[in-house]
This record gives sequence, C-alpha cells and structure tokens, in this order.
Amino acid sequence: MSKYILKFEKADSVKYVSHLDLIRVFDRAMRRAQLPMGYSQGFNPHPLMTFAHPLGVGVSSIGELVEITTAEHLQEKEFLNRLQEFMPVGFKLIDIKEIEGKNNFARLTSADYKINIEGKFPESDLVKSFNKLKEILIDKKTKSGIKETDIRPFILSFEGNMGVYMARLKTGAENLKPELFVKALEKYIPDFSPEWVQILRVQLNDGEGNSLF
Amino acid sequence: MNEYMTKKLDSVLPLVQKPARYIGGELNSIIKNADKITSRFAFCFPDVYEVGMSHLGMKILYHQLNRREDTWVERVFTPWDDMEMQMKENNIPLYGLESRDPLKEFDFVGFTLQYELSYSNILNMLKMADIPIYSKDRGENDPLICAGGPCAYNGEPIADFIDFFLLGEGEEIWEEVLDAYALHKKNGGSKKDFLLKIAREIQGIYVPSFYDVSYNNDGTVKEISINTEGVPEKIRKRIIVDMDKVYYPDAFVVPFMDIVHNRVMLEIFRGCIRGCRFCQAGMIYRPVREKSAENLCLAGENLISSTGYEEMSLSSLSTSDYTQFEKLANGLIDMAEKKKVSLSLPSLRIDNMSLDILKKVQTVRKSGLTFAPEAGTQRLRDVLNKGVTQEDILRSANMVFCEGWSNVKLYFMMGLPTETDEDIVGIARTGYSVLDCFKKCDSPKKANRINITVSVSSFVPKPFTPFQWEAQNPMEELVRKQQLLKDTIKTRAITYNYHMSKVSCLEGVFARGDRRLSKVIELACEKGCKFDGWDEFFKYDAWMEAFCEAGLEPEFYSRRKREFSEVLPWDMVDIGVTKAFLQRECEKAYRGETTPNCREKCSGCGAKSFGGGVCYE
Repeated sequence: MSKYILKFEKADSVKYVSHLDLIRVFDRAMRRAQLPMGYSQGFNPHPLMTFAHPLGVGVSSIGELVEITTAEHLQEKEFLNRLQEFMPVGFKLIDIKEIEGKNNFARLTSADYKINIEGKFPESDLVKSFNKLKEILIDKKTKSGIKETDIRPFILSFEGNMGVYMARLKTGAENLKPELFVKALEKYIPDFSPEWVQILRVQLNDGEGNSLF
Repeated sequence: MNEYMTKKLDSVLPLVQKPARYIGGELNSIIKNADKITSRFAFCFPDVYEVGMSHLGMKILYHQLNRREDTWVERVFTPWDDMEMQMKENNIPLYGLESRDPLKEFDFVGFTLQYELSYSNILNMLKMADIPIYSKDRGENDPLICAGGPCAYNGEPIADFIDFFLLGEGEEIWEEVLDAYALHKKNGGSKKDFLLKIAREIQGIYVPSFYDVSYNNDGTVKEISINTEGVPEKIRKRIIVDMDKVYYPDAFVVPFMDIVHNRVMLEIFRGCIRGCRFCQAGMIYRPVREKSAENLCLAGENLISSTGYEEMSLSSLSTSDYTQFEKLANGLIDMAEKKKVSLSLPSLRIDNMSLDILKKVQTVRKSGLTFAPEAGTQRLRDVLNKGVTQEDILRSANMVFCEGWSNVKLYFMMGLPTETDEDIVGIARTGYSVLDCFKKCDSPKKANRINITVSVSSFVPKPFTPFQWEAQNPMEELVRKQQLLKDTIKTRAITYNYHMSKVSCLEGVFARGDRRLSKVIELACEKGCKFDGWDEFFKYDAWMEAFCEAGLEPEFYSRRKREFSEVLPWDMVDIGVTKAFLQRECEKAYRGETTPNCREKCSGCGAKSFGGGVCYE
C-alpha cells in the first residue's frame, strides 16, 4: 500500500456536490482509470480515502486536499495525470505528493477564503468596522446543539474592499464555516445586505499559517 | 451553458436540499452546441431526480438519440417543492440540465409515463416552464409536447395536454420522428402539418386531437372516431424484434448524489412468458425477446469501465425465465470478481441451479429472498394464472433456510376478482407456513432468527389485461380486509406492510380513465396536487374536490364492472395481444382455469404477429 496527498480544485457547479458524495466521485474515477484503489479489510470494504476538511455545499475551492491509499506503488505524476483524465468536469487535480504516516491532516489549523459579494454596501469601511468589534455573537452549531457563540477568536484576519474580501478562519478542531462568517458580517454591519455571495477556499494552513502541503 | 440561468441558480441552490439534483454536469452527460442542432429534445421524467435518474428507458434513449448530430437530448426532472418555490420566487423557468436553457426553447418536451400518479407533476412542470398546458392553447412557437412509456397505452386522461403519444418501445420510433422533424423544419409548415405527417406515416404515433370521442348517456364511451383523413383507425405499438441488434448504451450518466438504483443495469430481455392476468407489463411488452448472454457480459464490462460503478444488476420482468441465465450469471460473477464490483440479483425462483448462483453472490445474503405468491390460496392463484403453488414456496423456503438465509419477503395483493375473506386469511396462513418451515428446518447452517415480511398492495385493474373489465374494491372494503389480515397475523416473526388504499383508488381511476379526466387533473393541479405517489404530498381531499368540480365521479372509473361489449377508452390502441384473447383469459379466470406459459404452449394471444421473439423459438 502507498499513500498520496492530492491537491485539487472544486470549481463551477461541482461546488454543489456534497462532501459525502466526493468519496464516490474519487472511487469511481479510480475504477474508470483502472488505478489500484486501496480498500479496507472486512465484510464491507470501503475505499481508503480521507479528505482534509469538509467543504460546505456551494463553496468552491482551489486548495482541497485528499489522501488516497493505493494497493500498488505509483509514480506521482503518472498517477495524477491518469486520474485527471477520468475525473468529472469541474475537478482539477493540481498537485500530488507521496507521503507516509498517519493523521497527516492533524496539523490543519486555518483556511483562507476569498469572498465575493454583490449587494448593498454601507458607506463606511466595512472591513474596518468589522475588525474593530471586540465580540461577535452568532448562533453556531456546537457539540451540545445550537448555541450563541463569540466567533471573534475564530477570525484570524479579514481584509479587502469593493465586494472582494479575504478571510483567514480557524479550521479543524476549532472551526468557523465561511457561510457563518458572512452571516456575522450581515448581522454586525449596518446598511449591508448581500444579494449574491460566492465563497472560494484558497488554501488550508498549518499552525504557522503556511500551506499544509 | 446558459450564463444568465447559471448566475440565477447560484443565488437559489445554496438554499435548497440536495442541490446536486439541479446542476447537471455529471460524468457522461452530453453537452452540444445548441446553434448547430435541429431538434432540441427535453426528456422529462415527472418525478424527482433520484427516481428519474434510476430509469433505464431514459438512459437508453438519452444516449441513443444523442448519437445523432442533429439532435440534443437533455434531461429534466420535477424540482422538489423547496426548489419549485425558489424558482417561482426568482422567476427561474424549468430548464434542461445540460444547457440550462428554459424548456420553452426546445423543439420537443417529452414525458415518460411510468405511473398514473405522476400526471399532476406533468402539468406542474409545464406550468413551471411557462408553457400553456392545453394543446389547443399552444402556438407555433411552443414546443411539441409528447409522451411515451407504459401509461401511454391509455394516455386518455392527459390527452388534452399532449400533442402526440409514442406507443411501444422507443428506439426505432424516435429515430423516425426526428428524421421527419428535420425534414419538416427544412421544408417548413405548421405544427399540425407535422403531426399529421407523423400520424399518417409512422406506426405507433397517436395524435389525440385527430380522434373524437363521444359518450353514451350513462357516461360510457359511445364511439371513438377519426376526424382527420389518413390517420390510422387503430394505432399499433412498436417493438424491437431483434434485441441483439438494438442499441444499448456503452455509458450511463453517473450522478454525483445517491439515487434509487445507483448501478449498472443490464436489460436481459423484454416481455414475460407468464401471463399473470393482473399484470399489464406481462401483456403490453409481449412477445418475449431475449438478448444473448455474450452480448450482455460484454455490455456489463463496458459499462463498468465507462461509469466506474461499484455495482451491477439485471433488469427484466422475471429473471428466472431467462433461458441463458446460468451462463450469464456465471459470466458476470467472474467479471465482477475481476473488476472488484458487486453483482446484485433480483428475486429468483429457487432451485438447485439458482441457489448455487445465489450463494456466490454476496449481496443477496444481506437483502434476503423475495417470493411473490400474489394471493393467499391456490384457488385465487389459479384465478390470477400465477403459476406458483404452496409447495413451490415451501420447498424454496426450506432450501434457503438450510443455507442460513433468514430474511424472507412475501408479496401479495388484495381486492382481487372473486376474492373472499378466506383468501385474505390465506395470506396470513402462507406467512405462517413459511414460519413453520423455518422451525422444522434442522440444518446446522440454519439462522437463529427469522424475519418474514408480508407486503400487501391493493389490486388496481389495468387496461390491456384480462382484468381490464373488473371493478376495483371500494376503499372501505380494502381497509376492512387490511384490518382482517392484521388481526390474523399474531406473531412478531411476521411483519405486515400494506399500502395506502386512497392512493390505489386514484391510480385505478386514471389507469382506466377517459379524456374527460384532463379537466380533473387541471383542477387538482391548481389546488396544489403534486408528487401524488409520495405520501407526504398526496392530497386525497383536493383530488375529490377536483372530481366534484369537474362533475365526474371517481367510482364510475374504478368501481364499475364493465361489460365485454363496452367500448373502452383505449380501444383505438393495438398492442398485438387481442381483445378476444384478453376476454378468453378473463372467462377462464372465473372458471379457475390456468393458461400455460409461452414456452410451454402458445395460447394464441396475437403477439405472434410481430414476427419475432418467443413465438418463433
């Protein structure tokens, strides 16, 4: 068995493909490509595949990470090129790296998002007023149900203007979904009502803020 | 892809459940340049994506007709009600999944009629597409609205909405219609010119507006007459005579999300040799025509390669009757092993050969085994011509119990012609005798526990069956019988399931309905009726109000026993099987006489006139 981490893009309409369905997309592409997928042992074998972090339905990405185990060793580039040929439109494989060990995604700490918004904006600087807030209370799903939570500590940075913004949000064990972040903007910024929002995940980062792979 | 629609969709898709239903772009879906296309065809399945995408007929026609350079077939399903609401609020018309262009821009909007309870969805979809529902209200720039599939054999309840019906199997007739349309577009002319041309020249085309229906004072049909010269008195269905020469897709569209039948499906034959007297499929698909095992193994292997599916199954009306079953099953088991996919088999008649095969197929163990005795006593099974005896069931049950199986499903119907309470109690008795059989089994492999499921549906008389003249049981009677059976089953080893009788009654009305019902469907649709096959949407009271407002009684259609001499609303359709044969079979049913199956002895049903299949084996 060999392990690889692939970086891929989820663009256009396939941003509506749910996280659970992604496993099938890759498993079937591997079969079409006649690449030797690794399977778990047991009565109901499942493909050995782990995604770094789920992406919300409707959010696109240019920095998704998946770890795939193969039954045989493959050349990195050949693997990537062969699999790409058999992926549905919208999934672009960007990079590949053979790895070893377990829990390779444990270092995940934050993610960078690019957020495009059309709608009604306030006259004052949206980013400035938001960053000044000491406390940002939002209903957030936690282990014990939906609770009003201060998400300020989850927002590591927020910048941009004219409807194009970048946000670095905590991701992983401590997590803030970008959709919720946009909700917080809407709640705390007066005279701001977004009509059309597009979110793009750009990169998954480790504790130092560097790309995970 | 339509950019305007894409942007609009991006504002609503994050707000609905399962947005993958509405995006298209799945593997093997087909994108063309609309500017270079003569015939744009929106193939509509009037139910939700997961159901429609599981339908084999749509897969076949989609891939076959998209081979034509002049044609682009796209898929359309009924949006779930959350999406319908969003589309209405945001002025998004119903669109084809491939191009995202509104249905109004297509040449053909075709519906497949798989069950009567989808009729309200058809109207709802036309409304969402902003297309007038009545044929008479549509203009030259509106698409042609057509329909095919099993319910098209009596499409009269939706006759006022449909420009033309296609009767029978679609592979050849659609090629002819598209050829005719290409010529028509080149030469010019009105929609009526085109309809007249195909009605006259293409076998299997039924244009309802070219036929007038008059009624007797008692509401029965008096006469069906032609109002346009040159169209056929009787419209004869189409079949594919040689199943080994017909197109079968080498790729299926592979959905992103899970659907009802999410696997490679291999169609092994069409038709059924059995001749069960309640079964419409057993009559309308005659004669039986098989594909060869070699071709099927090859098709299976190709489809696994092109889809990447992890599972494969077989499709037919009665898999055990496939003459090359052993060869096919063993071939597919080997291939599945090699490709690391699983094979799932439908319910089989159990004998030594099939048991050996079942043992090799792991998935069967999980799902258990299915028998369909259909009726609880031998007397009633003979009435149905269901060639299964109590001994058959118990012998098979014993064989599978000895092998360690522990899940058995038994399928029955109630409300059948000549049925008495004795037959209802007989359903419970059959369940108990299977339970006894399990208790008596002393094989070391025997399971610890048994789970018997008895599922009972309500009989709905269907057109083109020997029971097409029969009365359906009133709802109160069905409810009483359901209760009687429930009270007779007293063990927890047997689970009893039954269906909603209100749904069956409505199904009964539309199955044998006439044109006047178009009005009822229109009114019901206005009252918000949709997805009638889904319990959570079914509005029985709204339907009853619609009948009342249209001045029609549902009982007239469902509860009335017809004379053999009555003109039936579907009498202008010729399925090959003759009315005389159906009458003979009905009379034999009342005498409790059975009819041998097509391979034992030809009973002269009339299907031989198609010149192929089992009739010439």
